[in-house]
Formats: sequence, C-alpha cells, structure tokens
Amino acid sequence: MISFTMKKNYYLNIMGTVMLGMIIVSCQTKSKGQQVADSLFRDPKKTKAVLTFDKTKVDFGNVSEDTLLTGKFTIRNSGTEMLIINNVQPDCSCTSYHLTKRKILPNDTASLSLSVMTKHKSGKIMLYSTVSANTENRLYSLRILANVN
Amino acid sequence: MIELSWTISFNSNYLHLFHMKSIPYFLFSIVVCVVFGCKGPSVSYNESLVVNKTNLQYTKLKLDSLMLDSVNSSYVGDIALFNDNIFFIDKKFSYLYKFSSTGKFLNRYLGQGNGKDELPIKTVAYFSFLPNGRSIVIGPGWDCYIFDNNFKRVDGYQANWHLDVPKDVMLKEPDPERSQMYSFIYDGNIKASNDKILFPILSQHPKFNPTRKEYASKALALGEMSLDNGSVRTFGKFCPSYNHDFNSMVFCYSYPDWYENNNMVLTFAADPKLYIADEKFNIIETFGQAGRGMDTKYTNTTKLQDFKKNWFHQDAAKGHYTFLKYLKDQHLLFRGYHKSINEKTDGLQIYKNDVLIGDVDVPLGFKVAGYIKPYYYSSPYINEDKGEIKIYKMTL
Repeated sequence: MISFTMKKNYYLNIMGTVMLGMIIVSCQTKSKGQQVADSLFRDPKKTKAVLTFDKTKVDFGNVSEDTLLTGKFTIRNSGTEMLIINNVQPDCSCTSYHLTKRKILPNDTASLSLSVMTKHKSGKIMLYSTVSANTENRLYSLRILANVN
Repeated sequence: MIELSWTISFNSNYLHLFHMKSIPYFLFSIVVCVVFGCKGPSVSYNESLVVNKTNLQYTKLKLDSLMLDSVNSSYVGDIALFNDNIFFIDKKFSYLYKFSSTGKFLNRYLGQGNGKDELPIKTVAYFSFLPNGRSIVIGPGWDCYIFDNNFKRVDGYQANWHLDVPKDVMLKEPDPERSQMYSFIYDGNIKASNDKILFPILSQHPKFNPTRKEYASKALALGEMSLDNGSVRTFGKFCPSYNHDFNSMVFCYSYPDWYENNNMVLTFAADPKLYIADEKFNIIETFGQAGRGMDTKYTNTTKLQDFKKNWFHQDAAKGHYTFLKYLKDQHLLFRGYHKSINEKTDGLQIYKNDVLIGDVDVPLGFKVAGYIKPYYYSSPYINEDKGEIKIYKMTL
C-alpha cells in the first residue's frame, strides 16, 4: 500500500514536472500567430522589430519614355521581434509594388519591388513610396529616380 | 465676373426705381447701365500706373546656413516660420516638426492617423500657418483640414470648385469664366490670411489651355478659397505682356501674396512687373524692374501633349520669376528669379513699398520663407541621401 502510494506520488511528480515544463516552454515559444498579434497591438515605440533597407533609392539614369522601371529593395529585420510591414504607399498611380512577405522574423529578409511606368513622363522624375511598419520609426521613404528622355 | 457683379448691382437699382414707377429715373438708370454697367470697374493693367523707382542699397548679401537637427523624415517637405520657430512639414510622413531658430529639434506634431491631432491623409500637398496661429493642411485631392493653435483638428472639408456643369458639356464647350475649368498649379504656393487662401490656377482643358493663343486674354489666373466652407472663387486676368508674346505662356502662372489693406500683390513668372490689386482685382499700382541677366527668349508649344516637356526644358534654360513673399511687419517684398541655364546663381530682388532697394545673387532655388529677428530665412535645401535639411539666413 505504502509502495503503491509512493509510486503514485512519484508518477504525479513526474507528470507535474512535465506539465510545468510544457507550460514554461509554450510560454517561451509563442506561435507565429501570437507573435503577429503581439506585434500588432504593441505600441510601435516599444517593439523591438528593427527595419533596415539595403538601399533607399534606385537611380536608373537616362531612360526612354514608355519604359517599365523596377527597383528592388531588401528589407531586413535586424531586431528581436517579428517585423510587420503594415503598408506600402506609392505616391503615384504610375507606381506598383510587390512585397514577398509582410511578416518578417528576426534576422530574416523580404524583397520589395517598386515598378514605375514612364509613359507620359519627361525630364527628371523622383517617385516616392512610403513604407509603414511596426517599428519605432514607423515610416520609411523609398525613391525611384530617372531622367526620361 | 466683375462685370457681371456690376450689372447685377445696377439691375437692383433698376428694380427699386421701377417699383417707384418713376419713368425718368428708370430711363436714367438705363443710360447709366449702358454707359457704366457694361464697362464695369477697371480690370485692365493700366500702363499709366507704372512706377519705376530704384534706390539700390543691397547688391550683395552675406548668407549663413544652419542645419536642422536630424529627424525621422521622408525629406520631402517645406519650411514655415511662426512665433520665432522654424517648422518643417514632412509631406510624405505628414509630420510637422518644430525647431528653434537655431535648428534645435523641439517637438513633433500631426502624423498619419484619424485622431484629432493627426492627419487622415497619406500625403500633404500644402501647409500654411494662418496669421491667427491656426494652420491649414491640404491633401492632394483638395481635402482641407484646419488645426487650432495646439494642432488639434477643428474643421475639415473638401474644396468646392463648383463643378456644376456636366463634364461632357464642359468638354465640348469650355467656359473660361468658370472655376470648374481650372485646377491649382502643382507646386505652386498657397498664401493664407485668416479667412481665405490665395493661389495660382491653370486650365488643362483640351480646348482651352496655355498652348492656345486665346488663353492669355481669356483665362483667369488666380483662385481664392474661403476657409469657412471651402468655396473657391476664380478671378484675375493675365497681364498684357502675355497677350503680346504667346511664347511667354510657357510660364503661364503667377505668384500672388497678401499685401496691405486686404490688397494683393502679384508677379507673373514671365513678366517683369509687379502688380497690386484690390479684392475685385482692380489694378491699383504697377511697379518693378526686370531681374539681371535673364534670358527671356521663350518658346511655347501649340501641342498640349508637349507642353510639360517643353516647360521642363524652358524652366531650366530660361529666365523667369520663381517666388514672391511679402513680409508685412518689415514692409518688404521679396521676388526671386532664375536667370538662365548657364548662370550659377539665382537673383533676389527686395522692394520696400514700390522701390527696388536690393538685387542680389543667391544660391539656385533660393526662396525667402520668413523672418525671425534678426534673420531672414530661406526655404529648405534638402539632401535626402545625407538626411540633411539646410536653411540659409541673412540680415539686411
């Protein structure tokens, strides 16, 4: 009887330890969805996602009218939390964009392409796109430059 | 438009007298109508009013520069001076940054968002303080937002350009007197009083635009928007030199500013004179001297599709006036000009009352933004790659 009670306690202890471990582990490794939700609702000033671009402008130099220009930018999350690109806002209807992913894990990268059609444009053009993210700075500006002949 | 208002005025007299059943008065009113009513007040640019006074005190000025503290910015924006502070409106991020007169960052206002202290637009087209300390922000679609002295949004509306005539009708039959025909000139400046803003306008109608010979004589040049309700009034004709030289219409716009006694002062981009006009656009005075070394052999095009391209070329290559700023407290009028493609400096004229007191060389693109004792400050020179916002300052 004593032996049985001791064994029961022994198993309960093991089960308790395992459950406690699971709780601790689950708290530490949140799901991707939880990370996104946390990042969304957290004050951007307090998040630890850090956005860095490989460059902030692409200059195509002299181009002819009616040309499609595509500038590629690499976005890196050099912070410790999920980086979320909330919005990409070109300031001209002549500019379209493609973003490979909106949620970028720490030390991961995404690619952003900005495409500009130079139809009906002439001279020096400088087209801006604003990127907003869940970082302390929140807003970033990218430029496509060209001289349309 | 002014003629019409006078006709209405006399018609009111006519009705009043007709009610009195006084035939002689009625006939007299008809005569008055014919003699004066159809003519209306003078809207002509009377050459006899021209004043040419020069008392040059400034032919060289020393410019100092100051760098604004670094901020998170798109580096697209403009400077506004108010209450001894320098403000930088970031047109892409919709932030308004406040700096001391020495360039030290003090505070940040506005920003994109729907809160009372935010801007519900992604891009700012124009920003200006009003003399009473309020401020106005205009979006690219002419959505206007008024902020109080603490940058809390107190009013907002869409500008009303009175789009009363169906588009297809307007396309077939352009009417130069209608505000619907015009739009604000991109990259022009608004000049704010406490109850209205003043700005240059342009028609891009396929049948009525600056590539048409009749544009100079028939087009309206200015717009004015009520800050109470956003109603836009278009008025004011082009000055005579545009009628004489079709090619000058490549620079088909004016730079107006508020002057003394509710009058306005304006210069046209391709005309050496300065004009003071009252609220009904009666020209009260004409004065001014041409800038130095300006190449004014302009070329216009008769094809609308080529107009922009030609303008880009002429803008860089030819001489034209680039801004106008009247500082009421100092009674000084500043006018900038570009000389030609080979010149390494622009020109800046300074007028006191109607007398030219200064004509100096300044860096290309120089514009006077305002005055904080003891300095006159320029518009920003922005280096986006270095993240720098530089401002020139000078004393007189």
